[in-house]
Amino acid sequence: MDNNINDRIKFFSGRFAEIKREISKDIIGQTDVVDGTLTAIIAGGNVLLEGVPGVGKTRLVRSIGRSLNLQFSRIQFTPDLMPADVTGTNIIEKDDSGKSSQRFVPGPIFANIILADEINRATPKTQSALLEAMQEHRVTAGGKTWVLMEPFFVLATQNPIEQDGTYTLPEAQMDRFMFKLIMTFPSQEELRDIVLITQDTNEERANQVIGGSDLLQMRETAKEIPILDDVLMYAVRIVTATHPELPTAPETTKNNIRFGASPRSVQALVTAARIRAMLDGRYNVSYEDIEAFAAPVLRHRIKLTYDAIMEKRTIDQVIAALISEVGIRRFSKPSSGADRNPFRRP
Amino acid sequence: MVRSETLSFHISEYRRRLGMFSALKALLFGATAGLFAFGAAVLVMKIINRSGFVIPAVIFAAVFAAAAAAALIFLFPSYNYTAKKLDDLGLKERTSTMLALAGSPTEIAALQRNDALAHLGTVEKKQLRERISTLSIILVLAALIFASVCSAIPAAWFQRTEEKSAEEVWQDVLEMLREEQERLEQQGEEALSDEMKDLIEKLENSDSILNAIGDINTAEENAVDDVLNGEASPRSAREMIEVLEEAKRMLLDLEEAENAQAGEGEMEIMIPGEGEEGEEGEGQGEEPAEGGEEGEGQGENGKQQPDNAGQNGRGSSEERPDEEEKESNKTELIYDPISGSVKYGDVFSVYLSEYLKNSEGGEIPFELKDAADAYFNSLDR
Repeated sequence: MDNNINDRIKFFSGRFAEIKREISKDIIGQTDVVDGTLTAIIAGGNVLLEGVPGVGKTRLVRSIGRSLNLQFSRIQFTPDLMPADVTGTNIIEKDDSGKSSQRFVPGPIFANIILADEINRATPKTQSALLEAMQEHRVTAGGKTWVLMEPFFVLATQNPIEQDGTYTLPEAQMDRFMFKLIMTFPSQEELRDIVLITQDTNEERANQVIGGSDLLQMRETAKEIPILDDVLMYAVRIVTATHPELPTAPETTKNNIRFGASPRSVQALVTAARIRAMLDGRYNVSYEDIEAFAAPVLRHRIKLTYDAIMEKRTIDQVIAALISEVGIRRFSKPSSGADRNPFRRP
Repeated sequence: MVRSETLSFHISEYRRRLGMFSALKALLFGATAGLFAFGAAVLVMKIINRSGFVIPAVIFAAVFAAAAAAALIFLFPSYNYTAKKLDDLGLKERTSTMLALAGSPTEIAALQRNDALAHLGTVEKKQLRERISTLSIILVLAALIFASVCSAIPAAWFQRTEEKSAEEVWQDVLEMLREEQERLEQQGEEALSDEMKDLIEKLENSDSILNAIGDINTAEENAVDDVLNGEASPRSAREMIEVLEEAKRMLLDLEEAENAQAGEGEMEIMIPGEGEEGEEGEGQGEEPAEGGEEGEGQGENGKQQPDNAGQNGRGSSEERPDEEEKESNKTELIYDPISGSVKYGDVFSVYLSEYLKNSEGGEIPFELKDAADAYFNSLDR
């Protein structure tokens, strides 16, 4: 591949389409989830996946691992899981001469793609071991710090049904996930296709398309995609609009949201939007790119009010209403203190 | 490095397209402002009792032109705005980003620019549209209705004040006379008070200003008679005559205003002794009949010494029965421009009033006072 940026963009957008085709051999439908997961991997973020059992969460991660030629690891979180079970531990070995020595046995976290299944079933202590690795891409065990291999990606799952005996992730920890994606129950046609596929074999069929190094290069290339100041401010306004305590909060926020999203949300929005633009073969970010990731970025970062919950409003409905309210002010100018450099590369 | 002017060139034609809509909005704004100004101008013209639509039309044209020009300057789209409108057609912020990156030397900027221009070529000019707001159309219609209503309002609505003012003048005159009558009554001037009552009664039933003035003149004469007969004090009589003169002035002003409004032509001024023989002679004939009696007394006075005025006046009156002699004995030629004639009594009463005032003020020399009193007493009015 030529080092020329144009060639890189064209290469990656073509490869991305191919990756999706490969994954579609194993995962029927769920295009939003596939797009979001791939985007998060390229961006270097992590994903919290919510879905009922059997919708293909594990299969998705396996398929992605195959298509990206990345090492895959699965951790089933249970209440008795210990941090060492995740990170690894030192064991004492005796050699042939009887001499004892310590050897670090890496845990399942030492992989490129980690599927942390039912993360909310593990104790907070065990959760924090994983979350630390997610944040810093390193593990401290046995008195030593181990750097995790890049790219490193965690796809954590939560079962929305079985909430008894679970340890809900605190908001600060939820904020470390770039997206929260929801795998819905497949439609009848999709279910039919799933059955047909899995009747032959349960193994994933996706072939490798690109490698880990290409993924890192895609990440760097996406950073060069320019974003208009107005578009950046649009992302800022969306996140700011989730805070009811601010005077600029729209009515939807004041009526439905208790706590707003963190500044990390804006970073996630802009990074994801750049990747989307690049994979779309465009050389600039659009408002549409921002809006496409508003729900995945915000749904796990905001808390609804009790009134909204009692009236059975969903977070996605509230986010959609918020986008509508903020979207009509799309052409408003940035605040007077903002940098007016139209070519933004945060 | 591509300059922004070069890039702006590519969206100029779209900008001109949007400019057309801006021009239409500016015209609507100008029409709204112009029509409101037109309506206001028509109203003002009617209030100040001026007719015609030329001035309001000029105002409409001026306001329309100024408002439309100002609106066009304000509304004409910028390149950035045009770019945003183009992006709204599905270009996904390519155009706006292209303008923002103008002048950037990076490779990605060049790639983005080429990509944007390629997509720009797929947009047809006619796809670019601006919405004319419903509010602006409503405002234009409201302005049109306002202008129409103002034009349709009858000017007579604003002339009622003229009619009211005539009534008010009459009421003011009667009120003034009533106050004077009450004052005279309080001062014990019964004779003068009775004269006032009679006058007020006549004025209340009067059908014309001229008749009213005639009645006022008669009241003045009667007041003088009362003084001379010792039935009233000169001071009260003088004050009463001053009030009557004020009433006459007010009624004369009203008469003049009504005549001006009615657009009467020049009033005929009949000068005694001039003009056609027939009419003037007849007109003057009547006067001399009254003035003759007065002239009998005055004719001689104008020629003889004051101390002999009274006797000579009477004596001479008996000796000169001719109308010509009576006319030639008139001491003043004063004309009423309205009626074209003179009531001698009007002139006499003014002079008598002045004499009485000066006499009380001690301004008549003692040696002349007796003669003057005798003279005035001798006059047969």
